[in-house]
Amino acid sequence: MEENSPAARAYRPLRTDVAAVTFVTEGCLPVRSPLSDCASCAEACPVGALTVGWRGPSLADGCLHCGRCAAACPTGAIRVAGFPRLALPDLQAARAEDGPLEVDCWRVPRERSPAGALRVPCLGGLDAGTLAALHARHPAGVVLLDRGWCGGCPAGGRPPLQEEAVTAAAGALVAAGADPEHAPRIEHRPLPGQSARPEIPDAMAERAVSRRGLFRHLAGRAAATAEQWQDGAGEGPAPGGLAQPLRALPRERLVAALRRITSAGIPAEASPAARMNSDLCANHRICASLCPTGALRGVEDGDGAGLDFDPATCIGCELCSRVCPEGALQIGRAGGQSVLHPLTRHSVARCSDCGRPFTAGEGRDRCPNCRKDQELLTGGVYEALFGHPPEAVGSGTPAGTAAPGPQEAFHANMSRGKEAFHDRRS
Amino acid sequence: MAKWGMVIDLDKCTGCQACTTACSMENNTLPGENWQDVLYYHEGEYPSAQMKWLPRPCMQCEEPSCVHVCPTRATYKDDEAGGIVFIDWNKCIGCKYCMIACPYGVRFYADEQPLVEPDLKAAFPGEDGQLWSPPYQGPQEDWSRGIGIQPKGVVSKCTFCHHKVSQAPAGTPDLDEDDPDLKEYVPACVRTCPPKARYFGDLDNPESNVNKLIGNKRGVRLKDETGNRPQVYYLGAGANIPAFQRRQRS
Repeated sequence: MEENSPAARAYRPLRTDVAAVTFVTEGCLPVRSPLSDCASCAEACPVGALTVGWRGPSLADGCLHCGRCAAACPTGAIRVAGFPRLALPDLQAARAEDGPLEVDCWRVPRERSPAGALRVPCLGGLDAGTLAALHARHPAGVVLLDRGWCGGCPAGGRPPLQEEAVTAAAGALVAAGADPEHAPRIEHRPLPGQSARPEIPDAMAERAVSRRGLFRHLAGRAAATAEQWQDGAGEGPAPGGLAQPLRALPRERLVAALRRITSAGIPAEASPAARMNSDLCANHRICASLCPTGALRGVEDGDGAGLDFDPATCIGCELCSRVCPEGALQIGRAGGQSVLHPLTRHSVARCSDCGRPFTAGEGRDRCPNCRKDQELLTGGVYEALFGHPPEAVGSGTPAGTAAPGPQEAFHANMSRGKEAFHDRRS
Repeated sequence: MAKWGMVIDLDKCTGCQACTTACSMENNTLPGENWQDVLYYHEGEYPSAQMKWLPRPCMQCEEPSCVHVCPTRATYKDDEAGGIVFIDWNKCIGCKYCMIACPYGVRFYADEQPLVEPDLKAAFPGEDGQLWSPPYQGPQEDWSRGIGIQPKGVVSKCTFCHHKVSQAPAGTPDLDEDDPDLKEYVPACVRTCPPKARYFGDLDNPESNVNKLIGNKRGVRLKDETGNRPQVYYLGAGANIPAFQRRQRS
């Protein structure tokens, strides 16, 4: 709709000679943080043409523009031309349209697609969020047509990868209360192999109307084109750059579709579970600062200071659990609570040295910074500088305040960062 | 390019905090948020009580833990600028991971409750994106290196007075505050040090005075066991002088 909005403009082609695959830097998790090891797009690429580095994905020769990378990207940072870009399903306005929506792939000649079918470059390029959003418009069902070619298709595989997205979308929708009969599904409707287009055509070739298509068009039975599905084109994943939480559109579409069905929150099947060990948590809130979607957020209320967790926006990237220096947080794929809920609350104390409030002190009277100041002159440091170890007396003498033992997660991060540091310098 | 290093002679240091004050004035830091300070400790009891102090700038580590953990690559080690560790305030998101990782506690987040009252952030409200805008400001500003008055929500740290040392003629082995041609390029803490306990020079130049001092007087680096390899060396103060021992009475 608004192809000229700033968010839409931010999408740039990954390669100048492959206009179909576009990318927005701010949405890419490894670009946002070197501590993220997300490589979903590269793992999804059927021909291994995509690789991900700290500058984001790069595309080698051989791209089929099948869209599997875009479907795999948890934040919607990659887009491939030809796929529907839907606005979020509206809570009120359900656009009830008659009959199930059939989805066909571009390798099927247009005249062999059912009338009114949604044609996409590859069925594997549809993510669960898009399927759920389609379901919201077509409550009678979304049917992916399996023509029996996927196993032999260069973009395919066996079993076809779209099964995962269909299972995820259908599972979430049914758990929210949708009719299992009408949940998104794959239907085997084989066509003879020789009728297939040899490869996924590009958008120009797909749009070109064949003679038979022209007659159908003249007869007023124009097949649905992908263009009519571009109503969410203006929405981008990151409104304000790297520091701002991004809008993960695939997740937002799924959640909005679920909310149309039920007001009871997100069913456990589609709700990531945050498991926090409150004894380990030191309330640094690094997790909240780094959460790409703002699902974890720091709060202070009557119960103290801590974290809230919103399963609706969590994309399960696990960056939070990876960066936690204490290794206190784990994110599970499913089984979480249905609504935003408090994760931790710590009491607030005041540092006896600097007077600043601090949390999670476990009975200590100094803040972490002042404890670090003290540790600076104990043991090895003191000996190296002043020749003999301090005696443990006097109020200013730091005795028995050694740092908490080395944490594995923290050191794993350090070594990971260290490797990246030397990679970039060499 | 030089590799800038600092040598602090604890035998000479009197703990007067002139370095701390000079740093604050040079870099317009908020009161209490000192990019470099002097830590004091006392040990023992009367009559054998002793006081120790430790000037503490950023160590500009060769293996900086802060850089290794930074989740946005905002903090970085700039080999082109003499190995100084900078923070790009345009990228910093204020998560404070670096502050947890730094073994020396020389990184600061000034957005919270002020350490010194009254709160100058309230007295001089920030303009043009600055956290606070005092009427007196140094002319230097480079947010990509964390120089100038910081914006809101970022971590700040010592820059080895990059805005000064980067102006020094290439190949200078030592920035000596007694050399009239060089004194303008000397970091504020070094230039102001009354007992001349600080030295600043090129660690890559074998002829530099800092290298000679480190070699001849057995310079040590703080917390060497962390593997951070600071570019700040201390000349061990008491290492050769036995501390006062109270005589045992029979």
